[in-house]
Amino acid sequence: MTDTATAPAVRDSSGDDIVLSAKGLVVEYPVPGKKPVRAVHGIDIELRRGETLGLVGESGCGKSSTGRALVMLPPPTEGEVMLGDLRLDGLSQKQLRKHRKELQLIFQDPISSLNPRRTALEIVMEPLTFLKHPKPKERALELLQEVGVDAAMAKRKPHQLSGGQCQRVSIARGVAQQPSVIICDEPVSALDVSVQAQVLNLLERMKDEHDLSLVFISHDLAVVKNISDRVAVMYLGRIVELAGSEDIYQHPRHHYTALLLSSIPQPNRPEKLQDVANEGEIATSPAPSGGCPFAARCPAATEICRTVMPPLAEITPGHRVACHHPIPVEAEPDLRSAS
Amino acid sequence: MTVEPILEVKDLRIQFKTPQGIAEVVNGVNLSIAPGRVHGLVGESGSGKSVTARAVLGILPRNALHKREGSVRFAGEEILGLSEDEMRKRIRGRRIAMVFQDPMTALNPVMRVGKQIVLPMRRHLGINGKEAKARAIDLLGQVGIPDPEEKFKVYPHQLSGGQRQRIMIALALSCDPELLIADEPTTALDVTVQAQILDLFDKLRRERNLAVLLVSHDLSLIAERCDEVSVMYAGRVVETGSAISTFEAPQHPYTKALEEARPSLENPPHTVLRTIPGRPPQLTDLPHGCSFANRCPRMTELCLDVDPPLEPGPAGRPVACHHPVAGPDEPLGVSVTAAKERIS
Repeated sequence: MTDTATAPAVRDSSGDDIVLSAKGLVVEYPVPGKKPVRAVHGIDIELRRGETLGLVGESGCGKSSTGRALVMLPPPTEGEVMLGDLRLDGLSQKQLRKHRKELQLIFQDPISSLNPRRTALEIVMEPLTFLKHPKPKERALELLQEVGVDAAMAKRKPHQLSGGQCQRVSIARGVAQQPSVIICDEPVSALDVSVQAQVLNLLERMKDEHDLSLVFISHDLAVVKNISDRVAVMYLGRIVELAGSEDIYQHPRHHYTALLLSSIPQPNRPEKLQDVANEGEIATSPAPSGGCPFAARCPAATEICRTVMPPLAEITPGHRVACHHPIPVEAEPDLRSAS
Repeated sequence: MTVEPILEVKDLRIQFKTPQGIAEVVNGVNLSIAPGRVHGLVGESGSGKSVTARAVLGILPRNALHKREGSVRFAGEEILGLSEDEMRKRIRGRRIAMVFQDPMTALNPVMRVGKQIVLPMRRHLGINGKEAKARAIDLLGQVGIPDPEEKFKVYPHQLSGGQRQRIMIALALSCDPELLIADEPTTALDVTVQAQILDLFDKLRRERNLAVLLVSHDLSLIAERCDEVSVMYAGRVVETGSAISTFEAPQHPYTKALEEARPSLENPPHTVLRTIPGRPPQLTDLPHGCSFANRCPRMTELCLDVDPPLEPGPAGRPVACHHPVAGPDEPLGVSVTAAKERIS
């Protein structure tokens, strides 16, 4: 696919500085006695230094599988993953371990993703001790302080902390190893709105202070818009649209993106998003004919959509979409006339 | 409107026995729903919204104390003190139906879905199996299940989450109830499926004049889909009234803060979100005055001493606050009366 060097719509000026990238990423899960299930269908993705890339889509679209494959947990079935100029796929577990600290993960369930038998302090100290930090305890306390967990709370175990506090500990643990990339997999989905806001603000602050690049995976479009510089919308294992955060929400070009946006509850819905046809459900596998995976639900689908897979192509600078009949800019997504 | 409400809850109080002591989970809740209206109950975890909904149906968990105060009137009849037997025979599933968050655990996994819909109809409506089956297939079609005759025969695990929730709705509607209680009915579903399910509620409400009590943590969802809303905090209703007006001009500082904490599609990326400091109070040890006081930017000495009653506020809707927000443009942190009385 095209390089992202020509993407002036994005704030990030260092368009060439790619910290993590994948080409032709395929993730398959074995099914006993059957053909493996393909969760990710050969996607290309690039994370620029200092940016937050949002991955958004509904259950089963492959967003989490993509996030996991980017950190080799587990390694992708096919495809190339580059951390800076280092190729990660094909490295042995032992070789990978040396580079693990560069890539951290934060999970959805804050309490069960922490060791229940250790205190918050021990949890954050562990990677520091492993990396032979001269003063692991002091540094861990400092980091906990930074994420808003005080010394008294640092003595508690995960079950004695609230969900929001546990997520803060997860963030401190991730940052402790001075990674360049953190993959956040639905980090606020289990939290109440008021706590969610605290954790989102904290992630933004930690990203700036620790020069992080984030991949932010979520099903919640409003959350993704707020934290991301660029957003990739996924459907059935493919990226169907990729653009600057503001751009993609203002001018969705893929009919699936428009459907997603129109489905978000909004008391004062912008008129252009009303009445997007919403029928059918996500199929478990794409059409056998090899066409566009959204064709069966898409109101603009024509013959070509059912037989030819549309490539993810740049339609305006920095805005890529995989659709034969993209929604015209500034026009209402009047889906019947799109063909 | 002067329509007789189908459901009227007055001063409902429910306590739970917990290892930490008696938790006052619902603390004097008032609610009223008219036929054909959708009433939203919104709040964060532990606000008492689900317990309120369950109390109406008489399905509280075992650690709920038997002493229940207040009144729950359904179609003019007091149902709070009804025996389990009577609730089961006359009310639950028959006249008040419920849809839960997780359809997989609410449906019987080893019974074909058709049979699950047929059983309550035969019990409550006294119709024969053939008639019930015809009705069930018709219902499946109405709730948007494709191929209803085929789907009548499948087990719940063979369906998608959205379809299971549609089955739950068909089941809930099978005996033609007058009130539907939906507790986070779409929280486990994807947004596009959520929109379909909520559209379905809307259609049923119009076609059957069904009253709906919709419980959710999502303020935007409630504002978009409900006629009236009650915002709950620490077991109390802190603000109530028309859903759109509550969303556009919240009067209670909690409602306003909650709204500003939620990322909005209208804001540009990287907007700093409002946070609400602190945590909700322990329900086993509720403070003397307003339970939101220790987190509220408008708190004064009065708030610590006197629990504010639910009374009409600046926008005319009832609000439980000594220093309500005067209008949509007034910032949360500023209140003239509060500033004068400020203690720290």
